[in-house]
Amino acid sequence: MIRDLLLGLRLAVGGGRMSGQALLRLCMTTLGVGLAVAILLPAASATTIANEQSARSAGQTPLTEPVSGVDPLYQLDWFIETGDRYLQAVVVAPSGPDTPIPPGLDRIPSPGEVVASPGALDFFDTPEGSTARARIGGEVVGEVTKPGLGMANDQVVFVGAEPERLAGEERVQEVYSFGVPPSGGLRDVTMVALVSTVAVILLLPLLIFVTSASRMGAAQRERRLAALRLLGVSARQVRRIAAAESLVGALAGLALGGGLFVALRPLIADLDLFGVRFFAEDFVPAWPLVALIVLVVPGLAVGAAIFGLRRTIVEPLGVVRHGKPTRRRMWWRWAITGVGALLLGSTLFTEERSGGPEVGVALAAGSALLLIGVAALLPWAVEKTVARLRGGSPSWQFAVRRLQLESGTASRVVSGLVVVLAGSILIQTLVGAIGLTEPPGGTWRSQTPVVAEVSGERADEALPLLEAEPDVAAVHEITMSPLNVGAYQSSATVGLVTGDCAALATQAEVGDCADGDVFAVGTSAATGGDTGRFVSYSDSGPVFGPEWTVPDELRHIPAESASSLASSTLLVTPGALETLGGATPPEASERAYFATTTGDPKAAFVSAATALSPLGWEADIRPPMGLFDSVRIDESTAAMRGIMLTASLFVLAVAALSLLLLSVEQTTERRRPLAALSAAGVPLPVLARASLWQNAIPVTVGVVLAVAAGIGITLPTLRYGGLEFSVDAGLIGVVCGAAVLAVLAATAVTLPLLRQVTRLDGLRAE
Amino acid sequence: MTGPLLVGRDLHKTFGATQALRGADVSVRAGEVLAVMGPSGSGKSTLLHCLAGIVTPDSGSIEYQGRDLVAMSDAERSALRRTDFGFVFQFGQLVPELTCLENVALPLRLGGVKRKVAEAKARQWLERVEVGELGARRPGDVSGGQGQRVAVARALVGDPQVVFADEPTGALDSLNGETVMQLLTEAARSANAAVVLVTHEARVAAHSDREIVVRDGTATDRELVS
Amino acid sequence: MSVSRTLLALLEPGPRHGYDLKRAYDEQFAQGRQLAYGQVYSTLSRLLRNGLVEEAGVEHGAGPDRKRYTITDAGVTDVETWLGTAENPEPYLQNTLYTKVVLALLSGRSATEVLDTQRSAHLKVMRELTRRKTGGDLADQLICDHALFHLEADLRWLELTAARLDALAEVVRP
Ligand SMILES: Nc1ncnc2c1ncn2[C@@H]1O[C@H](COP(=O)(O)OP(=O)(O)O)[C@@H](O)[C@H]1O
Ligand SMILES: [Mg+2]
Repeated sequence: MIRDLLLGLRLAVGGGRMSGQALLRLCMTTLGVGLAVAILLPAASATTIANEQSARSAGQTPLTEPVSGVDPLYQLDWFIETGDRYLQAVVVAPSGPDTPIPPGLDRIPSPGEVVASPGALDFFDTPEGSTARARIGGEVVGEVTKPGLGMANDQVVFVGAEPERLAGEERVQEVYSFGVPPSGGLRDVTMVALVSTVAVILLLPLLIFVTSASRMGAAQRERRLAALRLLGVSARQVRRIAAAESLVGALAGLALGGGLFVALRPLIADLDLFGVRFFAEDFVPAWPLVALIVLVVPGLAVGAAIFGLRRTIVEPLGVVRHGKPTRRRMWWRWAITGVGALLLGSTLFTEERSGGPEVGVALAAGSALLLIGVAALLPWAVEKTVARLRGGSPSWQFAVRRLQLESGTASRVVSGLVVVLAGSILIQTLVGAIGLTEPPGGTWRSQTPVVAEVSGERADEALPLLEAEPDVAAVHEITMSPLNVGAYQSSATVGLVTGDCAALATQAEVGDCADGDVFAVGTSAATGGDTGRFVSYSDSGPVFGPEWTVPDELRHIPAESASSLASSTLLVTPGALETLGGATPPEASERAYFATTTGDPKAAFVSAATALSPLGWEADIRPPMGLFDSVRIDESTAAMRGIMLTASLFVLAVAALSLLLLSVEQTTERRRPLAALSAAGVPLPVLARASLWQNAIPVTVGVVLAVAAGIGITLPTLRYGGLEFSVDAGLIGVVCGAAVLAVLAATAVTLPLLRQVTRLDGLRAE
Repeated sequence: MTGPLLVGRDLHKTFGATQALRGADVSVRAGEVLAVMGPSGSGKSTLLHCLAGIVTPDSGSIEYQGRDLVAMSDAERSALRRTDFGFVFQFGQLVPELTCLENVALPLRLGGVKRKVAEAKARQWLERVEVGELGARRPGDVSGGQGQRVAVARALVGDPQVVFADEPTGALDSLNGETVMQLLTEAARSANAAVVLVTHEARVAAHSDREIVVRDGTATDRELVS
Repeated sequence: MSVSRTLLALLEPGPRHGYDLKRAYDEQFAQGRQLAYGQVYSTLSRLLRNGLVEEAGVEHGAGPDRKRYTITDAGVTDVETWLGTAENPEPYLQNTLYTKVVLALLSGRSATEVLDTQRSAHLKVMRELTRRKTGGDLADQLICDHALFHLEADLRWLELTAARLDALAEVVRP
């Protein structure tokens, strides 16, 4: 047994004189196993990461149970809006000497001091972040450390304040201690399902790469082993010899993967994965999983090598004589595909958008199984497709016949392509569709751009500050008050947006407006002639104010010509309130100021926010929708596309390499017939075209199937999420273009060899 | 008797340091079977390759039907080989992935003949060389002798003027070699195609009408001397 | 095989005694069956009578008087014609063929030409046999094949000899 393994090793690294193909095969196996291991090890750290994170977040939970002898910490959560995301600042002040210190801080910041997390500091450097920084004011005196953070890039800011200023505040919590026992790690079923789908999509091509790498340039080795087999070497010995060879690559791959993981781990902290950043030191793979990886990944490489040899073992003569291959076993391939399709199909019977986590699991498992199944069915499908092809020009006939003789490598190429392409279609469509679900309102812009909306307890104090700001052209006041219309039982509440014509112009396309006009935006709950009462809400229920009748001559404004704030409301000029009953909105109504500018809106927002910083959390200022955010969505979609594109191109490159190897192998093998053909006057272009078709047919089948399979698994998933379908033609286009390029490149590289082989040399008997 | 179809005069060819041909004269008349004899390494194959326009000689002239083969472009020579010449080599000239029938039909198809027509004619030729039943098989599945017969069919299917055969029986036993030679010469004679038959075996050369001997890269042809 | 032509050819390089001739013959061609003195002298006298050789003086010394013989122009022509004529292809020819090749070498003629001439003659017969075979029945074929294989063996031997002419020349030329 040891002797066989050693013989295999010698064949693998053959006494210093290693064949180019064997070396390439070894390198590719090493690379494939290495990459798979390097990806799997961080994945195996998921539980550690989740446990650590939940332990930290449990430790940060504030407890407000009074504890004697402890002076509570005054804590107020201040949401600073900066476009589509907000920054959560925590305003803190000690109430005495024995005040608990929040995790992640070494002391409670004094008034005017700010302690920020690294993520928050990074955020401050962005355009939208700079406004948040301006609002907070003060001086950054320290960093929030790991215990105060969930993820490494969490944006956490502690702002010191005077205790007196917080003491009276209604929203302030009095915290006596921090920390509850952790409640366990990752439990979310949907999350697990999602992660497993992504893992399959990412890993499957790698595994296909590993298996096809260990079978690269296999024809020559197969022939050698078949010759050994004919010499009387037993089936078991042949398997061992083959296993030893791929074991070299697999073990080298393990070492490479482990090395990569250790070397790259510190860099993980700088890596932004889907907007989340992890602590590098949390990446500790769970030991059972490590053992599993160490056993399974090299096992796969070795297994694939042995599996690929079954023909050599069963019918060595056929291998030596280029006979027809044996039939493959089909039932398990159909079974996997069938189960996957059933799972996916079953989700179609649930109601759209209403699926629970089970549906999510079914979708994820279904997609994964379907992808695996399709990959496993492909060799058969390609064989059948090619077997049916007939006729055509001689070069086409060459290619088709050659594929009929040996389509194994071609199929593996195709299956890798299908998985990656289909996977990227699924992922990118999801990302794209989520991007599309932004509310349709808010795309409307007023003629003089609004740069800020100011509200809050001390909003009126903000007015002079804003007006003093040179970047701000005008400030308009708007009052928003709910009006209860209809009978009491079947009452409906409609929003009333009150302001003068100029103010209303910041919210909708009011056209020529005069005091006394009333506008209904989109489909409003109130119609002309309705009478309603102003209402405000207190802890003890609704408090009704004065009555008001909606005027008969309402002017309608379509929803597309109004801001999202104005949608489905009545826009009312003050004159209309006076003439119709003289009602004024109650004091409790929300008041907001809209600042406009004639200059650069972003710069104006920053200066407005800065001007309001003395008011702190007592005045809210937010930019209008779309001032900052559009860029960010594009960025994350672009990042996702980048990842998928890289993965697809990587697999394509592998595919091209396999095709190239196959071409080279077959060309060298056909030295004599090719030379004879060329001697008989067959032009080189005919042979070159044959090689082009031979590469193009499987890749085309692959791309077509991939697009079909991708759309097939994407549709039910989109339906589950209630998302709209849109295909990223760009991504598919790039991949298809790259496929064409890969085919051309593989063919072009074979050309010199073809030219050399068709020279006279091929005719001379060796 | 007409003049020679193909004439090579004073041919020289050097590969690196090896002088494969140093002054060879040869002529082939239409329809004759000319044996090119000589020991191994004497330059027989090189001479055949020169005459067939597969390689160009360093010096000397080759005339085919009054046309200067040396002056032709590579493409012209390829086309000429496709239309006017046929080839049989020692072994391994059949394309392994094509069936025997497709292999035989190949020269016709490359000449633009429709597949149906080409394959019908190829089938006739397979029958003629007594391997009609092998049409659907791949070259890997047939014996050496059968493969050579298929090769003979392929060489003759395009109605060539000259068939170049380089040791066509070199890899066969006596009986198979005998049959292949009989089929080749009979078919060529009935199609009035000349055969340039390179061989070092007298029994094979006995199927010829005439022989020339290549020795150390030189050959003289009595037909040319007179 | 013709002893008289062999002796005549051996005289071509220069005059020799009868005894010398016998020794030269025995060295090159005897193969265990030496030529008898009587045969040498009777052959020489026949050659003398036909004018193909002539006496070139007597050498006195110890032992019997020794006559030296030399070849005439007629003798040279005879040798040349003989060497240039192919032997009738038949089995067991190699003795004659070998003698011819060696004599061509010894006399500085082209041994290759001897071989080529012979090959031509052989091939002619082989062609005839082949033709007969193609037209004939199985018995004809088998008989012809037998002859063909023998002739082929001759030719193979010829080829082999041709390939080793240089080595042979060194051995036969002192
Ligand atoms: N393409 C080539 N490159 C180098 N040497 C060659 C090539 N073709 C033939 N030769 C040399 O030329 C000589 C004659 O070869 P060849 O014509 O094949 O002889 P033959 O066919 O009579 O056996 C040999 O020495 C051979 O090694
Ligand atoms: Mg040769």
